Amino acid sequence: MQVSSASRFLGMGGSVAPDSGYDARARMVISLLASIVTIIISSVEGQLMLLGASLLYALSIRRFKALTIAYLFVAFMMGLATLCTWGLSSVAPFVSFTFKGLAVPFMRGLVMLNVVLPLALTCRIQDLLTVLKGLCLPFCIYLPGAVMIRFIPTFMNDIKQIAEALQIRGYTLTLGGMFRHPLLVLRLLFTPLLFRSLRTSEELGIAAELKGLDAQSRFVPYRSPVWSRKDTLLVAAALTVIAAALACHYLLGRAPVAGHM
Amino acid sequence: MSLLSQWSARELVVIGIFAATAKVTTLIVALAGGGMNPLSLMGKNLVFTTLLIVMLCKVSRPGTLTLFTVINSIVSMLLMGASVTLLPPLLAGALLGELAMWPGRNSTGLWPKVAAAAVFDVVTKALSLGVSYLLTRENAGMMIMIVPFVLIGYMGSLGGLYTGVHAVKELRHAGIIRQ
Amino acid sequence: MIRFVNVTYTYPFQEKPAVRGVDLHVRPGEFVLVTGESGCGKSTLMRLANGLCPQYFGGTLEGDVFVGGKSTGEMPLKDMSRMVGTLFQDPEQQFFALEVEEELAFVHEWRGTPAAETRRKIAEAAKEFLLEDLFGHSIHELSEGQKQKVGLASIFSQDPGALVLDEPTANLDPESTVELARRLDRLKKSGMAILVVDHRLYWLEDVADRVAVMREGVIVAQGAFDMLHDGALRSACGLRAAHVEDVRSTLPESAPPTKGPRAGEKGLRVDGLRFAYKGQAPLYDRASFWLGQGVTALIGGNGTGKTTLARLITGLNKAQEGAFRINGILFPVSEMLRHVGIVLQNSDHQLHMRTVAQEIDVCLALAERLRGWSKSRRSREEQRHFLLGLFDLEHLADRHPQSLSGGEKQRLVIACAFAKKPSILILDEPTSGLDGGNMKRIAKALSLLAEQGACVLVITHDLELLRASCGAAIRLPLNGN
Repeated sequence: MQVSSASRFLGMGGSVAPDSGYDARARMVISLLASIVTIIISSVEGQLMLLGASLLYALSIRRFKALTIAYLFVAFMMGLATLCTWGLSSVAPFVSFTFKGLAVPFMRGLVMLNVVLPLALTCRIQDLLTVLKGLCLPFCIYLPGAVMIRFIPTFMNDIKQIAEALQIRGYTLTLGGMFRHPLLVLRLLFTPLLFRSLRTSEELGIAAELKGLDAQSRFVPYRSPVWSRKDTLLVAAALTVIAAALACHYLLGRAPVAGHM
Repeated sequence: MSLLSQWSARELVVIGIFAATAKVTTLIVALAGGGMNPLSLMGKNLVFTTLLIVMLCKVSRPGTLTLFTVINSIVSMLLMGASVTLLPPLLAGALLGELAMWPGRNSTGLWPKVAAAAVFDVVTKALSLGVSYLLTRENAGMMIMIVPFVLIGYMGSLGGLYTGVHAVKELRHAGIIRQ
Repeated sequence: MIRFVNVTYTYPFQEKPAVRGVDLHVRPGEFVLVTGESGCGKSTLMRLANGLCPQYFGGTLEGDVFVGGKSTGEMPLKDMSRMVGTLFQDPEQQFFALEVEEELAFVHEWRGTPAAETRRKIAEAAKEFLLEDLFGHSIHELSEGQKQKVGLASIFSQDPGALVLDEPTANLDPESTVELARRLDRLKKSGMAILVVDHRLYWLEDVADRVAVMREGVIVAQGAFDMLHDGALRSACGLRAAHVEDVRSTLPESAPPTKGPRAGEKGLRVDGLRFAYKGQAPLYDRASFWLGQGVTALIGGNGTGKTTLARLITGLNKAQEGAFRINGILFPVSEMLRHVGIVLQNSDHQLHMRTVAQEIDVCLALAERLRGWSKSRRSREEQRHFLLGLFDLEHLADRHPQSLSGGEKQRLVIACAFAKKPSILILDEPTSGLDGGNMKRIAKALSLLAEQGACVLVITHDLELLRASCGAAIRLPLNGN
């Protein structure tokens, strides 16, 4: 059974997304492009185009439950932000409270959510390691990067075990206790993890030396990740959407938005 | 190339392990606190800075902070699609942090590392406000709201400087970090 | 193949040498076992053989260590690693990839081996160690025995002339231990020089050609395996038994005093236990069992749910159904941890304080709060003193808990569990990696707790502990499944 990276991290294991068949690099390229284009586009029309296309992309992984939870959380945060902005606008006249002024930043957030979720929920951690290899990075970047990805699930599990160990001892961690004794809470939760990290780095460092790894190591992949036609089409579709969104932005929505500073 | 080959495999492993620990702890603290509550904002910054200081003491070599930042950014992009816009502030923070550490680069003491972490925190927080402006420039109110959050996070970083020094002293007591 | 000539080695910041005047030779096709009590210098010997001392750890080396005829001082670690393969107690900590096939390929990829050659090497290794079916598996899904096989296969694919293993059986069940012995015997017969450092001895009776016993950094005895049958030598050097009787099938079944629950009965009675992991078949389906006073072993093969049962009893995993009665009184699962102590294997995660004494003090204070006891400071100090003495930790009272050795940490977390004075105590592999003296110390402490009326449940692969302390067994799968 192959459990997705983020779902395993976030303890959402269990149900697994159907294999999308897209290369992790294609999903990465889309995230990268989206993060740049959302900043450039400041018109509602352009953002709407990006939001629609990215939502379809997010729905394509068919992880409706995860998507709904993420949207509910973002909606809650947006609700809070709207309330605060409204409050501010009533005491500070230079802060405008308009639909457009709120909509564009919110849509930016949603677009990023839509492109990040498919990457996080469908790629296995091993896929990410393979992508890292495929980027042909120098050894000094590849090795710590690979170690980082390799040990994220291990440390997630460690944190769970540390919390359990406290429960077994008879500690009860409450929010009030965190305020009253922050240093004790930090010691209880953080000290074992810090020592564990140091010990792991020591053991793995020894393993690296014993495998004969060093900065002069020359990497020859024995198997390369497969970039298929499907991946090319996905990136091409993304580029088309971006071009359309930019066109919308420049042709339809270039008028300055109310509240622009 | 000689600059890139200065690290031994074991030092690179330490950097990778600490990057993983930092990512996991900050993610867990943020999730446990429901994202934006002040306590979790402070907590995750505090833990990150503490880990940064311990790591700089373990791998006491110019360039470590920058390498750590680059790796963190690459993996964040791979793993969680983190925005590429965060990279310039982080890199600027790392490079200026390296600069702050430079006068004490041959010292085995703790303070050059603390200075590097402090500069890194200040610069990244300040520049992240610039990135926030890019993302919310259509609405001045939102930008005003972001500032206190960044300040609360920075207070956590300041606390991290203290806990970082404390952690290194304890690691020395345990014989895990030796001078 | 590996030769130590009058070797004395001292770690940095230490005054006393870790090993002194060692002369030892491991020839191609020869199997040498090095044993001795914890801290006797046997792990240092292993680090000298693979070059980690002094190349990684620093320190000063006097005398010579030769590998394949070359002095280790003249060879960089990178070259040494091609001649000597090393496998540690926890192979997972050595893995750089998350899947079996990727892990096997990793070292070849970074040595610049052509892709076709890498494919051939990992195919050969997988065939030899029967790993083909596990190629796509995550390393987290593997049993300890399978992880060991992956670690060995990775080394085998690099074709080294010598193999060094550090406590390879500490996490293995008896069946996997026998299989490992068989594999190592095959490797020896293929011409490999093998050096094993271990506390457990019985599994190598038919494999080891020679045994070296160490004490305080010196080899005090060297000879054929038969010398380990000398009780005086074993006792003087803190060794485990050379031959161990497997009592797993002969221990009496743990049986309740009456068929149904009865007020005042002494022990834990669990009825109608139901539990299944999400999306999987039930592990326990209306199962019942009884844990009486004394030390009871929980016996079952890999995957039968031994640790899960311990977690269900304590409420760390929530049972879907089940009635839990302690001394005849029904308790909700959420209350169980107040009465049941549990010692899990991960001692690193359970230590938080700055000194060993503080760690025990905190546990005593928590136990007082939990039970509503009120004790004087003096009484607490007496308790601490007693626990430190019981587990031979007195001389370590001011040390940082995280700076202790694995065996010392293990004893400390058990001492912390004793501080709670639980009426029921569950221990998961309490003696893995402990030498003979400390294994006996734990067995004695468990018997003492049982004599005071506690019910102790031990999950263990350690046949010597089973024989030394257990009077009954609960066997998995349970009735009702």
